[in-house]
Amino acid sequence: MKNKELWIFIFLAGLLGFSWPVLAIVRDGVGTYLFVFWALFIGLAAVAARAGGRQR
Amino acid sequence: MNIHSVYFLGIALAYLVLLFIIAYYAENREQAGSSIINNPYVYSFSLAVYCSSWTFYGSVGKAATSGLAFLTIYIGPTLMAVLWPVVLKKVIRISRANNITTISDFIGSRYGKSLVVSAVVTLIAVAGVIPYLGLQIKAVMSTFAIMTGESRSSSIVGLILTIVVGVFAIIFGARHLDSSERHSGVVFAIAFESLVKLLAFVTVGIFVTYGLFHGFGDIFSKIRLAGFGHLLLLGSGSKTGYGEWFALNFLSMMAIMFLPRQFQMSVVENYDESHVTTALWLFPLYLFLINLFVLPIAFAGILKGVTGHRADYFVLTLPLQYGGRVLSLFAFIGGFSAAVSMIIVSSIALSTMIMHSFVMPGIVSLSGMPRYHAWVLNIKRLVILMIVLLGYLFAVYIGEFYSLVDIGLRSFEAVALFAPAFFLGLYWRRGNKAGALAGLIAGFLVWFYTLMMPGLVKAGVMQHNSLVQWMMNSRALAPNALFGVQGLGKWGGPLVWSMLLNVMLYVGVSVLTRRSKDEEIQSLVFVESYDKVKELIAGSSYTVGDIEGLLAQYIGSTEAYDTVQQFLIRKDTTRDRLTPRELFELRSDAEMTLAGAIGTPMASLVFENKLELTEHEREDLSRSIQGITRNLRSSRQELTERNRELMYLKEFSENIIESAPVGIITVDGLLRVNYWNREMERMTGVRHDEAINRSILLLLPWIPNHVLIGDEEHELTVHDQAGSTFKLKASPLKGSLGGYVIIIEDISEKKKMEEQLLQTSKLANIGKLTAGIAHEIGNPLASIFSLVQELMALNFRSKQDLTFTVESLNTINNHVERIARIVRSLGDFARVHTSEKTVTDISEILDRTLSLVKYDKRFRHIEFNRQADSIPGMLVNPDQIQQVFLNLILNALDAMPGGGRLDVRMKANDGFVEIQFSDTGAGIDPAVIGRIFDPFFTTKPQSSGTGLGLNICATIIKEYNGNISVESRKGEGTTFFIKLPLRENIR
Repeated sequence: MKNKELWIFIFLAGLLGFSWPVLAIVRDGVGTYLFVFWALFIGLAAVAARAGGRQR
Repeated sequence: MNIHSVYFLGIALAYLVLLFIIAYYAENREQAGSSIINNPYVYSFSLAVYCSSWTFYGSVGKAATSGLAFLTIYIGPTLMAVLWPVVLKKVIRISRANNITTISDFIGSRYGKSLVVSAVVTLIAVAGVIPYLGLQIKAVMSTFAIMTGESRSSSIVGLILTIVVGVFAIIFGARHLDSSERHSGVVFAIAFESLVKLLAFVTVGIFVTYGLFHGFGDIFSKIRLAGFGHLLLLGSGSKTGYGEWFALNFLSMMAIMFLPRQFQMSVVENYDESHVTTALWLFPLYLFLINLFVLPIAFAGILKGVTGHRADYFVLTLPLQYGGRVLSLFAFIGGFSAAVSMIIVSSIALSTMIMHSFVMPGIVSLSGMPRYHAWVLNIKRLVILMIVLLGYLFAVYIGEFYSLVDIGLRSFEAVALFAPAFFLGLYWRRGNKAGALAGLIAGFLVWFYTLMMPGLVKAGVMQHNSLVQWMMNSRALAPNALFGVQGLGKWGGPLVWSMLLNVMLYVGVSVLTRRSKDEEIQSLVFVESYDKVKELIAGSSYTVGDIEGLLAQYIGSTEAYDTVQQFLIRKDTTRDRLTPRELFELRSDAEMTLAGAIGTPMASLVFENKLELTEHEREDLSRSIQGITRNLRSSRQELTERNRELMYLKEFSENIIESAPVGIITVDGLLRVNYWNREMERMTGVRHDEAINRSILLLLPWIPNHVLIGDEEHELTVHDQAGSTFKLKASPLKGSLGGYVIIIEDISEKKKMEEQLLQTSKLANIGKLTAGIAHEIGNPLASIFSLVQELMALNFRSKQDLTFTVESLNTINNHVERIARIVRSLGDFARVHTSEKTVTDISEILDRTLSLVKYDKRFRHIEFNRQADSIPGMLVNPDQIQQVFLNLILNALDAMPGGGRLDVRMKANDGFVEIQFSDTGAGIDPAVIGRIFDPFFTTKPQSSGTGLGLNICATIIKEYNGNISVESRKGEGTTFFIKLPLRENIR
């Protein structure tokens, strides 16, 4: 996967995770879910950024 | 204004003075050539100007009333941030190549450098952002009132602070006319403020969560029991539907790209494109941390029933009621920081937009004034002051009718209108100026009607006449349900309609209308690569003389000539040989020279000779621009000079590092290699480009981890897997980024030579000993010979013969054993040992050495006195230690040719083994005592000394991190002291 495509994929994964219907599935614990998913998403971005930097 | 107001005003002003100092420091560093803002972490923190007082106060208010909806304002930017490598980097590249300094210039430039598009974008931005600025001032005034205990906000305090902040923005943001230069002072001050507000908010959060309650679980369970469980939900049963949730996320995604202050920090102030890669995760992490305690603070406010002020200010009122003055003061400073940073950057960005879109075109027609450039600069300063004062007026007269979040979201809706013209303009070539204008204007009208007009009518700014009344009450045109469509939400409705009309008109009009040649070129610059533009322009009718002549009219013939010459040198060509492509590039260069001073659209107009001026006006304008250019030229020349010096220094240091006979590596804080010199390539076979950005621990696994931890220097000898020996020195790098510089020297050859030298020296010592020991072997041999002769003469007939034979054989056996012992000792000593260290009792080595020398007849007149304590086993090379002892003993022997006494003492003391060799010999002349450890220095006749013995001793002892020294008195004797550290050499 090229660098640009990787970032677009991560963006789409985030968009899905932060939107309906996923939010409706975790309705009862949506507050906790949002913070956990948010932290994981940032972690994923950091790992991808480091990996991208190494490739260059 | 009461005494409390004066006290808090003093604190706020003191904080601003601190900001002045910080900004001044950063500017000085920039001028000294060591920019402090050329750093991905400073860049990431400066982006947190996004978190204004809305974040600091308003998020809690929003959470207390609408639950989780506040998160959308931070989740949107988080999502957008992962697209920065695709979008933001492209925007930075285009902006840098075209000298673009504002979002309005960017969009205007895309559509044929259109001044009209720029002006519309500026108008929307001003209309959208001024209320947002007012929000910050309103927050400052309200928090002042809370802190001082006044019932109403003091407008005088607000005015004083507004003016001081405006002055700050003028000093650090409008010192020069060239808006393409970076404002290092502002950037660093903003980064500092971001840290302050984060710390303040988190501190209040921790106090509320763990000081007033027993953690997150406690607060959340209590809020559910209190009947506010819906605040922890989304969708049905909550105050935020999924549609609204999506709309707010979308709005904040657009805001992080298009808010003028964000464009200023992320694009204009960007020092290095690679900083974006760090910011894309660090900035969202900042947002995550500052939001971690929003819900606990909001719920705590509800549970504690904090009254008297709205939920917007729970961050301040909770510490004020329960936390004491220090905590509440810290919270106040945090909120003040958040507001001030937004005001400063927004006013700088908006002023540049207004200057380029409205003021500069006006000034062109009024040119001819003396000191024109000074006037332009002063007008920019005035514009900054006007912007902050407009914000102040909004805060005082209209701000009361809205909550913090309501005002902020109106701004987000306004800047989101740029999205179609911006994004489609970046990736769709057909989009043109007419389409962009149609979309922007339609979107702006929807925005104004649905979001601004109701508030303005309510505040009395607009007349509530019959037409307005009819429109607002009609079923089809009600602002909160446009065209009768319900259920889109308060923010979703305006967004959907403005965006729908915007996109439809942009695409529709673009498809139906034609693009001018300028628009075609610019669409290629923005969408495709620059090379295609060159192809398109290949048929340009410009000549080099035209370009130089046109430029000379405005900036003077010398400057114009210089610009052309510099271009020709760069391209390595002449005026006659310029290709059409190169002519286009020359024209772009010339246009950029003007753009830095008067904005991109104006430079484009000037260059295309679209300005219809009389000869007199042209001369006046030319003089004025020449004034500006001279100003720019002097700073540019200064910069060029500095750059040249810097380049020379860089080249000089790189040459030294590259030609150094030692390996030099630098690593960053994460131990990733960022420098790898030629010697390292030779030593390891790893090429420079293969090593860069890889972990040093993976590249050189034989480097012990502990040397790359902490702030201490380390120097040690290490071996790689192939058995080569290296001397390694690791020193921490100074500076905020951390990291280490590692110097590696391959000492394998040196080690081999040392071992050979040791062996040679040992053989020389054996040579010396052999002469002395020969008689030890000769005497018993003579005795054996004599006894054998006598035994051969016996006839073994008598008992006496038998008895003599037995006694003789015993004697012979004793002699043979003695000879064997001597030969074995010599053989042991002469054997080539490995260089490996083993756990050894060094007192045993001493005994072995003493036994060896005792066979030498010259030692018969020497009295030995040995005192050795019990020493723990040490990790040493026994061969090396024996060599040291033997050298010192033989030296003592040489010093006492007529006999004497040699005392040898060995003891463990205070973590060291101390060994002392004292003789009663001739002593050493004080004049030469300082040189006795030098190689090839000897006081003995050349035939008997090489001058290497003591030097070898010193080298060996140093290898064990020990120390050897000498004391001597002429005629009385000499003492050698050896100290070996036990801790480092013990196992």
